Amino acid sequence: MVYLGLDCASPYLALALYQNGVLARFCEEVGRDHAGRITGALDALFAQAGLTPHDLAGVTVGVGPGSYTGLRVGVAAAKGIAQGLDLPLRGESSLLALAATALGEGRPRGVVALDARRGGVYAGVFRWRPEGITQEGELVKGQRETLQEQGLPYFEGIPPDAAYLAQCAARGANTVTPLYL
Amino acid sequence: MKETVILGVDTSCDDTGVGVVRGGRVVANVVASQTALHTAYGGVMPEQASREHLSVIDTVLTRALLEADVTLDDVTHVAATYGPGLVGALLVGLTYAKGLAWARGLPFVPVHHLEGHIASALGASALGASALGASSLTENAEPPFLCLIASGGHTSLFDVRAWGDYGELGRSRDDAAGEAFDKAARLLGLGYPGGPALGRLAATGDPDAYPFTLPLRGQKGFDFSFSGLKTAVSVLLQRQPDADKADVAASFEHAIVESLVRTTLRAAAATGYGTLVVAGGVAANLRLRERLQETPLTVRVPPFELATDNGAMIALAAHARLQAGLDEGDLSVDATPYLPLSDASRTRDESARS
Ligand SMILES: Nc1ncnc2c1ncn2[C@@H]1O[C@H](COP(=O)(O)OP(=O)(O)OP(=O)(O)O)[C@@H](O)[C@H]1O
Repeated sequence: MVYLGLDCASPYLALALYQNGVLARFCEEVGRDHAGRITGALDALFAQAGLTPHDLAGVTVGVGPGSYTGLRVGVAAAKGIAQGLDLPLRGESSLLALAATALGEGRPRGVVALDARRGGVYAGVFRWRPEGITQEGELVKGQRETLQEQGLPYFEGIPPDAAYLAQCAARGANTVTPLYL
Repeated sequence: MKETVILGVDTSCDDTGVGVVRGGRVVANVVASQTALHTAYGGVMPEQASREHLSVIDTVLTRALLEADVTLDDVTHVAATYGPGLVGALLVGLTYAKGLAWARGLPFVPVHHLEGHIASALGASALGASALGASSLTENAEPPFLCLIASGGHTSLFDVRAWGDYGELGRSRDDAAGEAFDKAARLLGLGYPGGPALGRLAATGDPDAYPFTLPLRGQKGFDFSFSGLKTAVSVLLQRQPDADKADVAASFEHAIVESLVRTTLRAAAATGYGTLVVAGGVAANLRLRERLQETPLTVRVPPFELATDNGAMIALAAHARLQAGLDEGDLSVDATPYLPLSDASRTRDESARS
């Protein structure tokens, strides 16, 4: 069962293929050019894995929070791919994908934040466990300084881990609701 | 060659449209209109429009496939509007269509929104002929012909020399005709979008009650200008608050229709074309239709559902491009909010050379 994960809500275009482990990754900082780059990146990803879209069993997309345009590009592409191949589509928070990059066995808990412009950030506390990453409490909009003083490792501006999203696709479809914060 | 089954997607403004064209004929045309969503604001809210497109696009596609009685396995090409339009709105339909084409390994045909309006001629019937059953392929308008596009966002006259080869003869220097209808309707308290309501009210009024000056009289070219008419209505209503609204509507409509028809007739004389295709939402205006029937031109009007924004016209344009042997596009095309139609006229070969 090969799963695709993608996230376009940050300045990164992040894609990955997963099957009992990471098969291929594509992650580049593209600024606002997700739409122009996405099909080329998908081609590169599948070529790297030696697979075709018909090998897919499911798709997970990061639904934000993040850039409205970026997250819409990601969700629109994911909807097109999933519907085109009649695959289950799942939406997960883009912060979860960031947390997957930041956390691991050696650093199981931390604050993961995303620039919200006008000085603030969107942030959540995440916990890593071998069976998966979960968010503790609510997503908050706050000030960098306050969040950094919580005594937890603080992460911002890191790339999302699309492979973690791909891994989530095994859980099946859910309602994909973009997070416009 | 296998019969083509083309999916067409348009999300350029506030309608989510997906259509299916099989062997050159429209077999599905589903449009999810956002009019109700935007009515409260009296205009289109771009961010809301983008969100709405994204939340309905997959169901609109499913409905279109059902209506066409085809499955994705039957689909041979995917087409989508890449401009002009609201960039966020365009991006949703374009990216979705690209994702679908990419996943299925299907050729992708990017279409200029106005080329879609022109290609709605392929689903048109002669004005006056019954809308039902009158659209056999032989009756379709094939270029060369003159095309008047009058919608909420555009008013232009095109010299359609061949599919993919368009020359703009003139365009509105300010408001589009539909926009002028909508603004005048608002001044008359008719709500949004007011074009159809104004048309209905005008039918009960006297078109000669308030003789508005026709815009751009004496011009050599084929441009339009409608913002002055809207201002004239506003001034009139300020000076005579108890003016008969039906008379104002009828007089205003008369001026717009006369301006459109007279300029079009001069363009027909200049190009020598005897066939006119009228597309865009304003093509639904009854007075315009009546007036055009009085002219010596052979006038073709797409049925209303093909005249306003829709996905089927995008699939029709892709069909016409393929028939004309124009290159398919590729998946690298970007949403382009400002896009002259002349840019879409070129084939990929030509643009590569220039
Ligand atoms: N009967 C009518 N009389 C006059 N105007 C009309 C009538 N019916 C529709 N319209 C006008 O047509 C316009 C809608 O047309 P359409 O859907 O083609 O355009 P749009 O989406 O606003 O613009 P575009 O196609 O340029 O992106 C509106 O401005 C509406 O008021």
